[in-house]
Amino acid sequence: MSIISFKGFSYAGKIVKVPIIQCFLARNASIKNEVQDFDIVTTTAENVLSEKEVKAICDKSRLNHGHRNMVNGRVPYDKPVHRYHNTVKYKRKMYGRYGDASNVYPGLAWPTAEDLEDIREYESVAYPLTIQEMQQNAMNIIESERQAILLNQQKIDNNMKKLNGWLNEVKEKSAKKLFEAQQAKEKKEKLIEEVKKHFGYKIDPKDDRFKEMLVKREKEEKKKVREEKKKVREEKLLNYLDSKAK
Amino acid sequence: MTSFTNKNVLNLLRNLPRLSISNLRNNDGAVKKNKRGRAQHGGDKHGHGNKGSKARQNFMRPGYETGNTPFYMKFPREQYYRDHHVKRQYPPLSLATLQQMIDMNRIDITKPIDLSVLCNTGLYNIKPEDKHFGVNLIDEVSFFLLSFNNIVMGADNFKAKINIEVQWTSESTIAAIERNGGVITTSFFDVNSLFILINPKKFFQRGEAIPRRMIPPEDAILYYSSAANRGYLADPEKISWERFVLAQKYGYKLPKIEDDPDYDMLVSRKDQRQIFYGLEPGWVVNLKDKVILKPTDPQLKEFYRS
Repeated sequence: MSIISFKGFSYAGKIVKVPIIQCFLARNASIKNEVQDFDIVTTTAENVLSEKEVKAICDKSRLNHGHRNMVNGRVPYDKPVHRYHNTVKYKRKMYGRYGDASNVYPGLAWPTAEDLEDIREYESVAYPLTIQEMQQNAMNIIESERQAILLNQQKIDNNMKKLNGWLNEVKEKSAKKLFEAQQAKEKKEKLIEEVKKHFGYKIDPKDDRFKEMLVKREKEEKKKVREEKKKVREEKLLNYLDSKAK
Repeated sequence: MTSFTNKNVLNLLRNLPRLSISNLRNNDGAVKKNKRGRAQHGGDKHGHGNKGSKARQNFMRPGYETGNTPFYMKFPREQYYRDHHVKRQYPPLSLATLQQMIDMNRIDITKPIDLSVLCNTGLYNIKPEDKHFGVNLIDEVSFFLLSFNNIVMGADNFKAKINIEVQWTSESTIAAIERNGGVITTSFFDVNSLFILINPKKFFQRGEAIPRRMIPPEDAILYYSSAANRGYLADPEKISWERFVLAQKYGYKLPKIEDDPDYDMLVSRKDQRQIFYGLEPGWVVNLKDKVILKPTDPQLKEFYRS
């Protein structure tokens, strides 16, 4: 049971006589062959130190308890020293690192029923759609895009067919407008000419007399037009009555 | 007489101070202290003129126009880099580099290759925290080999028959692998699974059950369910058809996998929910005791099967 260890200096001979455990607690062994102050633990057969005590005395690593355990592949703390040591995460970690030697119940590795509910709730929010639904949505988007392009192309095709007609329309419209403008211009010129004839001399179109005359002329013209229209209407009516009478 | 003087000189030398760190000094002017004197010690304007913003160092931020609408904000602009910080990234790996890894015995091609194997080579790594979502296998020139003045096209010189699982790839890469009788699959891993996959040991030491792999996001669903991309959600029959189509397109004879001696290795694929080959979600792997623990609770079983 007991471990005998000594570094023989001057009194080695004395020690071997009795079963003895000798450990040097002095940190620096001197190079010189001088007798140092040693803490010598002497035991007799009746007073044997336990193995734990022996280990404690023999440990010269200067590591703290937790670190020494970790170096030797053991769980660092026998009892929880921090409140973190009571968490499931820490216990799982201890099981993962040290296996069965950690004395952790391996069932902790799995989520509890409550955790499962939490996970399910999270997943229902984070992944609301199934793979099939997502595929369907993606296909629908592609299809709708394709349809939009098709529709647009069809619209362009139809419009291209009508293009010549539209061009002609625009041309006719512009020609008509030009013609009307030309006519109006000619009419006005004619009027001015007539007014000039009426006065018998060249008169400035900005003159008030000229303007008065112009208004008068226009009125006469309008009257003429109205009378013509009236005549036409009467003629029509007469024709109508004639046709009825027949 | 001479010996006497010599002795004296030697004694003198012995007693003279030695050159040491305590009596070393910088050369004059070697250290120049940039000191701005205050008050009577040279403190005046220090080259900053008299008063005003220049003397007080209130520099405007770049582009600021003292109250005007800044020029850079005057016109609407196209946000080219919009949402770049949240986009998925796939750090590339060249086929040439992959071939080299295989040649150097960094990768064992008698087993299926996945991201775990690639990271284990020590030559490739990804950072899921930087939005890296896995490997993009490319057919381009390997920059590593370029340094030796060898221009090596990955696709042309790729000769290995492998079963590889990547996260992104191109058509020509697929062709290069399938021409050699290999198999390629593109599959998606969520961030959590990626962390587990790139460092399995770290995960196993956490002492947790292997989680399920999550489904891809909506914008990636079509990529991973497309047979042309060899997606892991695609129909296997469609994939075999696409293999044939690609062989026709690139003009090579497609080797028959059914007749291959490594048939079992070549056809082994992960499940949609699986992270590791051979390990199912819900299992606990203990490296210390070298045991695998499987759940027996029906609730747990159902959860991990879903």
